[in-house]
Formats: sequence, structure tokens, C-alpha cells
Amino acid sequence: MDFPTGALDRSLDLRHYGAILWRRKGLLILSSITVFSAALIALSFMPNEYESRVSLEFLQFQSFTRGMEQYTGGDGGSGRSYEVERAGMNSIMARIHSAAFLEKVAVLLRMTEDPGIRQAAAAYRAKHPGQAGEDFAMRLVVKRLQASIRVVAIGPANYEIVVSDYKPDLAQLKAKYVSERFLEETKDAATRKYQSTLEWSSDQLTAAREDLRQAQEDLKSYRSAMIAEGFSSGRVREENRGSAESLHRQLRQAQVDAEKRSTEWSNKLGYVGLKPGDGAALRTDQEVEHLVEALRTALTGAVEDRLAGGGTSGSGPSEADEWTPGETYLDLRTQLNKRLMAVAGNRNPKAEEELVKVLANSSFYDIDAQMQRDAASDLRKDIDSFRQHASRQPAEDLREQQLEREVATVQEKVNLLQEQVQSSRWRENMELSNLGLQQPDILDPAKVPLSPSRPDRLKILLAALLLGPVLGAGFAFLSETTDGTLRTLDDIQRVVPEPILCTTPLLAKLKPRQRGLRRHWVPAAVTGVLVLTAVFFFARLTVLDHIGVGNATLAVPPVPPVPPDSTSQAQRGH
Amino acid sequence: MSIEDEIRRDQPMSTEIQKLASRLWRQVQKDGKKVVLVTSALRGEGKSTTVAYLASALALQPGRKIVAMDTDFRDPTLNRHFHAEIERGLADVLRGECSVRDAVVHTVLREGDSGLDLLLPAGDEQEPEALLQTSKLTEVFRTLRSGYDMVLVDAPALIPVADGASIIPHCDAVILVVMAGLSTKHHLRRARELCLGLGAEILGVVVGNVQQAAPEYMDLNYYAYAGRERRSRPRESS
Repeated sequence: MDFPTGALDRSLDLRHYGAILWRRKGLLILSSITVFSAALIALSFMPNEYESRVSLEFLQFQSFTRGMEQYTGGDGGSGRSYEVERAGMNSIMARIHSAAFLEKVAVLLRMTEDPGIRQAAAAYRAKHPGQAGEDFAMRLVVKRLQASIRVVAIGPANYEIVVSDYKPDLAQLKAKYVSERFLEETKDAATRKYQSTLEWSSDQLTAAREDLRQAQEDLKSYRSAMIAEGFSSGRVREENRGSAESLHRQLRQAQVDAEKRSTEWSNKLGYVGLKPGDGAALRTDQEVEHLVEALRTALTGAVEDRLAGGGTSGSGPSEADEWTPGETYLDLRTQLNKRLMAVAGNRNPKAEEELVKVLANSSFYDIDAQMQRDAASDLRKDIDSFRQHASRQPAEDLREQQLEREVATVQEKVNLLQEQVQSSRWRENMELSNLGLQQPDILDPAKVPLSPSRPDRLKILLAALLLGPVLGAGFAFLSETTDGTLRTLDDIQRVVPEPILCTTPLLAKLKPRQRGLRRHWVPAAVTGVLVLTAVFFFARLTVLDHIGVGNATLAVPPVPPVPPDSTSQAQRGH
Repeated sequence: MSIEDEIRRDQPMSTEIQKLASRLWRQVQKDGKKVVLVTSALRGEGKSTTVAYLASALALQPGRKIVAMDTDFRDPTLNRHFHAEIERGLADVLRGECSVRDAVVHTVLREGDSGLDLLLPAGDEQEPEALLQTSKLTEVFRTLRSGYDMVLVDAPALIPVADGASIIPHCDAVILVVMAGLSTKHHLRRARELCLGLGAEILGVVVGNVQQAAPEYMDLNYYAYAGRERRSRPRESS
């Protein structure tokens, strides 16, 4: 009889796998019994662990900008995502598990005075003579506290501090002190945080105010410079530019006329036997000097009045108008003339009247020409300055705008910092007054647990019941693959290429004898259980005691903890 | 229940044996290979059962003369299938104490007109290896070849003892019996190498314990088709 021997030609037959499991049922039973027995033995050695829980609520923190965003209609990033909750939980966990925090708790509960801890520390000191045993004791306590405290998130901004111990009252005691200490630490940390924020903001505000002052001063200086420039050369503007040009022409004409007369009178000096410099000597008189100065001022004022739109004519400035210096100027001019006559007469008492008149007029017209020249020259400068200023105007405007913007920016920064300083002060006050923004609150204080949390014996036994057969099945399939026994036609065909003539069923009288462990699975199972028991006893005696598992007394403070009021005393004592 | 009854039943074992018998008989007719040795790597794999059922199935056809020869002096089991009473056997023949004709046991498969004879070891033999090395064995086989249409030899297992190796040269072909779940790969490979080393022609393999080896070929429901099971399978009590 020829059989199809290709494995791929054969469909998956679950009965085949069932047959394998049935064939290896000894392994299954052995594995099940072993795992279940192991679980039972382990549970018998495993002490009950009690958990005490403290529920904390953190009021949801909102930044000022976030609050403003919500106030103005936005969502303000509302909703606490899973990441936020997780980050919060990790933060709490990190703070609680920090050695600094747990050392405070250990000092508070006098956990380093525990005989077990002292014994372990002494053993460590004997083993490592160079190191301090006290440090080791504290480190051991901290390590055990870290292992016994965990934090779980139970809702938005709600967390639980879970503290476990082998005794229910100790679990409650630890949970109580850990949570209370954590609240105090959190409050201190929050206050410190807002204080540092306030200090930083104040420093920044001071610096920003200085910047603002500097910027304002720059702007002011610039504007002053511009105004000064405008005053010095600002008599000529766009609106009176034509009038200034006309005035300049008139002044130039007056200058020419005055110079002409001055020349005439200077020539007459020669006729009367005087030198040209004799007329200038009259100007050394003090009153003459005073009058010359007044005359100059009057002329300048008259020019400015004219450019400003006034003037002796009383009408507005126009290019066609004839300009006159004004009565004041004319009076001063007359006074000057008379004074020069008087000075010339006084200095030449014996001279004839004509000579005195020539000398005085020569000096007068010289002064007049000089004044007209100066006035024309000043006006010319103003006109030229205006022209230059007009060409520079856009750049100056940009510079001014830039300074204004700088002032505005710094002002805005100052305002923001003022706001931040105010906010920080407010938050600090809130923290100090116990109203708290991020201040956690204890919703549910620690209670003495009524039943053990770990180990969950029923769950472990059920898991062992499931795990045993699964492991057994795994071993069964593994041993099947490593077993050289011929079980399928494919196996036979791989060894013997000759055809399979026929396949006959197994007759009862030809039932194959079991070999190896399969033949003796009952004693093998019993032996396995006994060996496992021995291993567990050995582990209990050597390993478990060494690592402290199952030894409840090590985690127990030997004396009742000090009341919370004397916390600081305990810390000082430590 | 006698072997004859079992062979006549329409059940997996008898069906497979019938098919094997037909195939062997055709081969005998075609190639003239009259002496077929049935052996296995280890003991307890079903050699004797196979020989007993195969010989019965062959002998059930009228006009055939079949002899089944048990050469396992250490653990003879073929006679158990036929409940035969042995007075003289193969050992006596080999020692020259009697002839083959005297040692052959006639079965009553067909109620007096049996075509199946048995040649059994008869008694505990202390040195079977030496006995099987004698020249008498050749004479025995010659006699059987001439007297029967087919000779089925139930040989001892090949690996534990050397008896089978002494008999193989006298046979025309070999059938290896393998019991799934008992034989191992290296045992079967070793047995095959032994056969081939002795120049035997291996006709093929008979696989026992097919429930494990190929459960898909054991569709018992097929035999219950159209109520045939009730008719063909007699109750155990009867």
C-alpha cells in the first residue's frame, strides 16, 4: 500500500497533537503537580503584605496666560491628557522616592534604630571596615522604603500614595507620615518656586526699566538735537523760504548801499587829512559798542520777525513786500550816529565841524555796512542749512521712528514684567496663606488595612493551575521533537525508502511497553515534588533570609514614632 | 476468536492484511520469490502477529499451500495465534531427529482442508545460533520451497540477536515490521543496513500501531457505513 508521504500534502490534524499530549500525559501531570506544589510552597513562605493608601488631590494648575485664554473664550489647553497625568505621577514618585525625602521620613520614624537594621549595618561594617555603618543603615532603610512606596494615578489630578508593610498598623503609620511630610515638602517647594520666580522677575523688571529709561533718553536727546538744529537754522522753513530769499536780496542791497556810502566817507577822510583807520577808532567807545550790539540785535530781530510772518509792514511776508528794519532799529541807528558824532567831537575838540562829521559818518557807515553784511551772511547760512536739512529729512524721520519703536517695545516688556511680578507676588501670597494653587490636599487619609493586598493567593493558585499544563504541553512538544521514536509514516519513510506495504492497527496484545520516564511517571512526579520542596526549604533558609524577604521585623520601627509636633526636634536629634 | 474469524471480519486489520496478501501473492506469481522473511529491529513489534495474519489470509484462498515457519527459538509466539500443540519442531529437524514432514503442524483453517501449515521451534533451545548455522537449515528451506506455494518465516529481531542474520541468506525477500511509537530511527536504520548487508531484498515495511502513525487512515466510521459494521463486527460476547 502506497501512502502519500509528503508533509505538505497532509492537512493539519489536531488529533495528532492531541495524541502527542496524551502520549506525554505523564509530563503534563508532572508539570501541573510540580507548578501547583511550587505555588503552594511559595505561598506558604510568603508573608502577607498590607497596603495603606492615601488619596491626594492636586488642584489643577493654570498659568496666567492659560487662564486669560480661557477667560477670553479659548480652551486654554484644557483637559489633562494621559501624558500630563503620567508626568505628574512620575514627578510625585520621584519626589517621594528621593533619598533626601525618605531620609527625613526614616529619621521621623526612627527606622534606623530598628534592631534588624542595626544588625545588618553591623554586619556590613564588619565586612567593610573602611565604610560607615550608619550610612549603610540609612541607605538600607531608604532602599526598603523605596520598595514599599508607590504612587498610582486614580483620576484627573488625583493620586494615591500606596505604602506596603507586613503589618497593617505599620503600613498605615508609614502612609500617614509619608503623605504628611510630602504635603509639607510640596508647600515649601511651591513657595520657593514662586519666590525665585518673583526674584527673577523683579531683576528683569529693574533691568527693563533701565532699558526703558535709556531708550526714552535717547529719543529725547535725539529730539532735542533736532529741535536745537531747527532753532539754529530753523528761521527758514518751507513756508517762508521765498520770503527769506527776498529778504536776503534786500539785505545784500542794503549792504551794498552801506558799503558804497562807507567808501564815500572813507574817501572824504583823505580829503580832510585823516587816515581810513581813524573812523574805526571811534568804535572803541563803550557806549558805541553797546549801541552797535543793540543795533545788531534789533536787526536780527527784525529779520526774524520778517521770516516769522511779522514785520514792520504789518502784513504777512511776501517776496514782493519791501522790508524795513523797523523803528527801533532806526532809532538805534540815529542814536549811534549821534553818539559817534559826540565821540568824534570829544576826541578832536579843536577840529572843525566838517571833519568831525566826516569822521563820524565814516565810522557809522562802516558799522552799518558790517551789520548788513553780517545779517545777509547769517540769512544766507540759514537758507543753505534749510536746503541741507530738507535733503536729510527721510533718514532723520526713520531714526526717530526707530527710537520710538524701541521705546514702545521696552515699555511693553516692562508692562509684562510688572504683570509677572504681580502674579508671582499673588501666588506666593496664596501659597503662604494656604490657599494653594498646586498645593495637594489629602482627600482620604491613611487607614489601617483590613485585609492583605499581597499575595493574591487565589490568583496565584489559579495561574499555577493554568501554567502547569501549559508548561507540560511545552515540554511534551519539545520532547516530541527531540525524541527519535518513529511515530508517523513520514518518519519511517525518511529512514526506509522502500514502500510501506501496509499499516495495521495496534492490537491490544501488542501494546508497546513504555520506556524511560513515561514508564515511571508517577514516581518521577513524586520525586520532582520532593526535590522542589527541598529546594524551597533550602532557599528559605539561605537566600530569602539574606535578602530580607519575609522578615517583617526589619521594616518595623522598634519604638512608636514621635508625634508630628516634635518633627523638628527629631531632625535636630538626628 | 480464531484468526480465521478475524481475517474474515471487515475491519481495518483484516482489510490491510488482505491487501498485503494479494500484493505478496502477485509478487510470488510474478518473480517466484517464495520464501519471505518477516522481521523487525526490536522484539515486540508484531512480527509473529503479522506472519500469522498474513499466512492465514493467504491460505484462506483455495488451492494455496502456505507454510508459516517460526525461527525464534528464544521466544516463540507464532503458535499462540493458532493454539497449536507441538510435539516436534524445527529444532528437531535441524538436529536430524525428524523430517520436515514430521515436524509440520497442519492447521484447520478451512475445516479440514487447510492450506496453512506451521513449522514451529518446539521447546527451549539453548544454542539457537549454532543450530541455525547448520547445513540442515538449507535442506529445510529446500524442502519447504518444493512443498509449498509460499513460505513465510517469522524471524527473531535483528538487533538484539544474530539469529535473523543466519536465516536471511536462505530467503528470497524480507519484510520489515515497524511498530510506530516503539521503534526508533536508528534502530530501523540499523536493521535495514543489516538486511542489505546480507544481500536481502527488502520488499517493504509493515507499519503497526497505525492509530498513531497515520490516524487519518483509521476512519472507523467508514466501516459503519450502511450498517455494515453491525453485520460484519460480531459482538465480543458472542
